[in-house]
Amino acid sequence: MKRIGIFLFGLFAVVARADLLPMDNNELRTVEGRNGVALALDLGLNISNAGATSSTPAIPKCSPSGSSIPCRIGIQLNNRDNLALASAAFVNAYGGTGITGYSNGTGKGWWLVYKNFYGRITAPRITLDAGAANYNNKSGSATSVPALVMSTNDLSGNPTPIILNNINIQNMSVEVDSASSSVTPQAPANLGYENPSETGFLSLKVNDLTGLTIRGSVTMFACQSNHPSC
Amino acid sequence: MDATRTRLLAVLGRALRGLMPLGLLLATHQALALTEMSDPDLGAVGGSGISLALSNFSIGFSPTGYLEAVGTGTPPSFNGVQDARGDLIWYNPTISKASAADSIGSMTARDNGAMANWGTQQDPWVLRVESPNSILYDGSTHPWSVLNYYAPSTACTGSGASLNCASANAFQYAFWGDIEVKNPSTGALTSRLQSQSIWDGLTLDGSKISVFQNTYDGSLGMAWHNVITTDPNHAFRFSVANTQTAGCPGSVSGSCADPATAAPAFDSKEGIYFWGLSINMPVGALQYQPIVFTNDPANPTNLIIQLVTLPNAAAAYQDFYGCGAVGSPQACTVDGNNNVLPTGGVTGASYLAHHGSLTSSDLQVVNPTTAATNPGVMTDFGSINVNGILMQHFSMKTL
Repeated sequence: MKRIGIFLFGLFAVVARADLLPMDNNELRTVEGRNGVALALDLGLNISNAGATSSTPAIPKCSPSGSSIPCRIGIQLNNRDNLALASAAFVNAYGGTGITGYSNGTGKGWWLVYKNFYGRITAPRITLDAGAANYNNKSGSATSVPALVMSTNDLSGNPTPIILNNINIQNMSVEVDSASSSVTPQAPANLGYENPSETGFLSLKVNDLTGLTIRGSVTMFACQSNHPSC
Repeated sequence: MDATRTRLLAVLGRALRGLMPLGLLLATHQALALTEMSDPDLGAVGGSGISLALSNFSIGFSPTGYLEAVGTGTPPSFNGVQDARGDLIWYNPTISKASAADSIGSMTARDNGAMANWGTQQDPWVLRVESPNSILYDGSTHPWSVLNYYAPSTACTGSGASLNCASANAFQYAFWGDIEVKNPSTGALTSRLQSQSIWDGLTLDGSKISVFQNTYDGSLGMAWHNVITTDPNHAFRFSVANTQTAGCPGSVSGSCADPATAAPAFDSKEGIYFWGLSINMPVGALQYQPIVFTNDPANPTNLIIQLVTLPNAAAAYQDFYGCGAVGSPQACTVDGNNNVLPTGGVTGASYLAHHGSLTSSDLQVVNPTTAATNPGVMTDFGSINVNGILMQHFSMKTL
């Protein structure tokens, strides 16, 4: 019995040693990175041939309204509904005299809807590396801060094009909720972007199967208060 | 059997009690997990802005890569005649290096290669949130939060004929375009105009885009100060003549295909040249004149982009007409002819903050090249100077 007890306890003890332990700041500081990171990204949105080569024109999977895949994006701004001219006061901590005409958001909201939205973007290589941003600060002395450096360059220094494949918004339209609502979000059956109509005022398309070429690099760093521009 | 089971259970009980410290460790390990921050905690977090510097940089579509905007829906009819449908296509939009100087015949390449810098680490593009003291739509003055995106601020050196923008992040912006007219019911292409736009040597330094919650109706607001400077050695060239022999439409191959599978071969010298084209155009004012996005309740599926009418609040319109230091309005003075006089004159900061201008040192039109005349006949229209443009209201509605 005792042997069984010890055996069971031993099993538990082994499992316990596999826990992750937090590192304190001093230990983290001694860790050094080596090379940067290279990413390959391929995003297919609402397309049926995602497995094809990146320069094969993308085929949409979207079905017309009423079918299973309407492919829509709806954007609603704050205070955009049919009560936008209601007389609720604009109450705010700034202490001004306030404005009237601030909607309380319980009307029929309106949405800017992108209908039949599909496409594919392939970035074969995006590199992320650590670097430094060097500048003269407000007192004129040289300062160096850590920076993130991004580029699309391959190992020979040539840019790899980003392929924009048949990115399509078939129609843009403003759609209004079918009923007012006293709660946010609106009940699904009333939502403006579910309106089955496929009409709109503008269609947008971006297509570059050879690819968008971005040469060079982008250096991103914090805009600290000692920098003359910040 | 029972005795064995009891003893096994007793051993297990002791073992489990022994494991209790482990259980506590696991529990504290749970407490080291991420926890939600409340709104006051989040509000106490401060950050810097984000700076961006681009080096050895250019960005461009391939010669047949494009952005297309198509008018959809049923075109309206006027006097019983239905409008045609229009397609706009921008091919090969490219931002690349500015040339040292331009001349008639030298502005032919849409891609000049990589520029050394577009924004430097000393003078970067900056994205940051600020809360400056602002005049609100009701005329009161209070700090108001705004997300600003600043272009670099290095100014061109010299002025007038000696203006030089080479060290001020100058670049070239070029594309070739196609305006197509289509039959509204059949969709057949009825006519098209292919053109090329090359703007060399311009700089956006000094520009700013602002995004905020507007004090007009509490929704999204934007404002934009557009500053484009080009020195007199560089031009904006717009040209249409190209060596397409078979008529477009008609042929459906190469540059006549829809969309085109090859770029047209444009005449190297023909075009309209705006030398030294510089534009200072503030659109909207922080915080009393925002750009808002709304719709027309009578025709709700259409979008309206609107620059709100200047409010009838003295602090707001006095600041707008340039009657005091930026953001600090004083009563305007009026001369004997009822002209509003801005404090500091037409070169003062408060005037330039809201008044737009467009200047070009020389406008030249060059005819297409022929066997007999190369370059084509040139007509020189002289300089353009438009000053003091104020936008009190602007509204654009889709149909």
